[in-house]
Amino acid sequence: MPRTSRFEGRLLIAPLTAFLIALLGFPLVLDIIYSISRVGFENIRAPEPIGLSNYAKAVADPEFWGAAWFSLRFGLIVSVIQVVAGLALAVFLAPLFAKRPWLIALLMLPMMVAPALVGLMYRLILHEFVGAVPYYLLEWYGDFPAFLGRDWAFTTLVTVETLQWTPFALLILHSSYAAISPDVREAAALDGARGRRLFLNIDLPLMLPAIGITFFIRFIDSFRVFDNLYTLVGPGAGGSTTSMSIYIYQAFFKVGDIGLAVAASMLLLAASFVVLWVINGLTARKAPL
Amino acid sequence: MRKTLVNTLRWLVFVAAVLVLNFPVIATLVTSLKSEAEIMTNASLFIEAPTLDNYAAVFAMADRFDILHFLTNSLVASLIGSVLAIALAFPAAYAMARFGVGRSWLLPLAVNLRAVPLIIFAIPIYLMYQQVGLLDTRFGLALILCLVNVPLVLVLFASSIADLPLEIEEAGRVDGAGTLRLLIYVVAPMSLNVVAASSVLAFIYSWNEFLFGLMLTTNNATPVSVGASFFFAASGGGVRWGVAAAVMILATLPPLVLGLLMYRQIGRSMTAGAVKG
Amino acid sequence: MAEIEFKSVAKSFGKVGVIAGLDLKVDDGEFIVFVGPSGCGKSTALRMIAGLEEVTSGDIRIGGRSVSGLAPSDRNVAMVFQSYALYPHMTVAGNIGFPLKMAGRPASEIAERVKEAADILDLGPYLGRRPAQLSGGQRQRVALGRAIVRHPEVFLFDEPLSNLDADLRVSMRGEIMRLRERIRATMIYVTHDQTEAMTMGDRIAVFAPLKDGHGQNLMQVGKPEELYERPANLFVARFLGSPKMNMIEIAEGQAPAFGTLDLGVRPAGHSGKLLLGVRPEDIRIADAGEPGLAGRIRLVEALGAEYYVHVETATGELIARVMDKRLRPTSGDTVALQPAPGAFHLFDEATGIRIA
Repeated sequence: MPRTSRFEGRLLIAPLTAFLIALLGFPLVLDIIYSISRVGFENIRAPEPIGLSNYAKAVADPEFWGAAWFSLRFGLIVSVIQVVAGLALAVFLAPLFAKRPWLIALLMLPMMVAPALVGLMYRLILHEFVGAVPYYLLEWYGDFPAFLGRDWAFTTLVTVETLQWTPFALLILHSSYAAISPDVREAAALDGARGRRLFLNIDLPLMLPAIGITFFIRFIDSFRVFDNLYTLVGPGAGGSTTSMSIYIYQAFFKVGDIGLAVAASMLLLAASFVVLWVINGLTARKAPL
Repeated sequence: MRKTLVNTLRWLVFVAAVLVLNFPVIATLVTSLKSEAEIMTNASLFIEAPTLDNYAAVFAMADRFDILHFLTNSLVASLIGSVLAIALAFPAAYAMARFGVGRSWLLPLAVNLRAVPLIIFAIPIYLMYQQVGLLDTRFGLALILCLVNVPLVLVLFASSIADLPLEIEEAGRVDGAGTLRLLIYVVAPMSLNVVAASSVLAFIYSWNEFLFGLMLTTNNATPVSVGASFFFAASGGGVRWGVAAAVMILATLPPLVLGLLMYRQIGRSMTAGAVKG
Repeated sequence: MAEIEFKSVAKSFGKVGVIAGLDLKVDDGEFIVFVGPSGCGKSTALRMIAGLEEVTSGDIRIGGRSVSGLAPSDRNVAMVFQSYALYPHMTVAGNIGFPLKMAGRPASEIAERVKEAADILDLGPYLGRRPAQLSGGQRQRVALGRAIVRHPEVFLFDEPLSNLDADLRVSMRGEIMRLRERIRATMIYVTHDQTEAMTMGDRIAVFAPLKDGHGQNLMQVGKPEELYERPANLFVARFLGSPKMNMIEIAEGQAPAFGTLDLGVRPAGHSGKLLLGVRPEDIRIADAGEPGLAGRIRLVEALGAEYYVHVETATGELIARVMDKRLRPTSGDTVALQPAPGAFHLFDEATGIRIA
């Protein structure tokens, strides 16, 4: 049977493989070719190979590094806050969810909205004249900051991203918390662990893999953030809020320097692999899930 | 006594969390129900004179901003994209789980793809589409939406098929079913739960996709996530906030409704997708 | 004709050999039981007939035709699985009718044959239910129905009763034997339970695990009484019979004797240690001082209808079965053990093969 099943298996996997080759493999090859060529919209079919100067240009561009630094900072800060907040909410609200599971649906809603739309919505609610946030801040504190100005833009973006995606951390961590067998907790209680000791010594270690995964996923997602930045702040709004994806977008559409844009993409791809490799190394040393 | 105090606190925290996390949608909804005049004067969350004028206005301005067109684009592209992703991934997942074919490269590829910023592929795909005339088409968009969702769907299917009891498939084979009929009559029906849950999630992710919609369409096939942003640009100086809010609510309604109705399946898919990745 | 033949069949999973040198012929219409401890390859052999496992080397023939390369769906064998393997999303009728649907039979014929099978197995009232709504015994009957509806030439049973509790097991055993009367197909039944093996099979085939050092899996095949009364080797001798056959070591050169009783056998031209086997029911307890093997009763297990008496002797502990209630063996008594005339078995200790 292995002979026929190998053939059948290949047949079953063929459509997906063809699809991936066309929409993933081929573009990747194009990426590599263009990254080492001088190419603009006028000579797409005949790129001029020029070696690694696109890469050199990207690496020499301070905006490239600005964007990289932004993405890194943004990704780390946002992920940490989301995991901590998500963990706190998951554990504190667990009894509520245990009794009424549907409650969690209300907290999942923020994830259902397109991040791009969330950006647009914030343009409304942060608007100095018609937005609800400035209104209430004015009422309570007498003043409100320029949310999208230089000083506050980063914080605003962090808040926007965190508020939308903390529910993800909540979801994953809650399901990990709920999966801890009550037997384990009973045994710990018999051994004299209650309250905070129980949490720190029993629950937290058991949830460590879930915490790690949540952090990892949130980090990659926020590292490549584009949608809400674009709609809230717009591309080319100044270096302080340009992520890697926005930088690449600008290089492509605004400047038209395809080679540079693609080279930057390849560097971003390389960076992703590095991150993945690091994560794989870290998780491989821990016990398998 | 202390218990009820803590419990009350839990409820307070819960309600606060729901309000704060859902604040953008709530505030936008509120704004959409205010008249333009009221919006200028009253920025609080209390509506003095609720009205549906903004929604009427959205549909009335079809000549300048055709929201139905955008909604239809989103619907068609998302449907095709998610159905296609399922159709491609299901047989492949079976082949990986049962025949071991492709396990060494396809599954790791899918898992790692979820970590890669897809903008890397956006540029060459743009150029490719330009050459074959797929730019600004619903089908072209659908293909990309399928690509975006295939990794997650593949991972979900591979693990759920692997969890199915092998003996039932063996019984099916002994009963005379070849692989294709086995998939149709036995494996697929037994996988309905995960297929439904994955399709909902894939549909929502497709509906919410922005980057590719932005880059690969101009006006024919533009999905509503991008179209809504046009509204801001097109209005020039003064944005009609009420109508803009109505547009945003309409644009996000389908995913919200699906999220409320199928939160269990969505939740399970998201968790499984995270853990098995 | 549906005789089944294994010709020099071997099977390995990767580097691990599970079956080696299997030569076995099952006659058309025979009910044969494959029995042995876990890991002995009996299930693997069964699955190879069905086509669910590939043969590493050798050939399997059904009805004279080699089936290697044939998919399970093309072999016209029916199989009943240990876990029933019912299709959870189909009704009982759907489950039973599935093979016919796969064979492309018209709907009217399917309905008719499903009803026929359901009537035989008393499943009529359950045709509309799903497996989840059935009890274990009912599910197993549905699995049987699915098998018989095809009128196959070969029936394969893979430990079908293991998941049932004791009472159900007995009644299902009866069910299967009744089926056997009605349907004269070739049936291969795999079990680890020697009671099932002894009571159900026309012939039984005892398998041993290769990893225990045996050169091949098939230890002996034949009628149950044959294997019980004249086991061909140590493995079969120890496997069949409960409690196990008692073994006494006979040193090299020594004349086989049961204590002071010389058994009168001289294995010709044989060197090396021997093992003398005597079944518990073949041992008689005599008073101390009489000829035989002297010993002291360590433990008496009273089972209502019989006693199992554990006796410590110079050559180890033996178990004797005592049916005569008047004897009242008591722990601590010294006794002499005597074998029933001729009821002993001699095995070569090194090879395990029967000498006498």
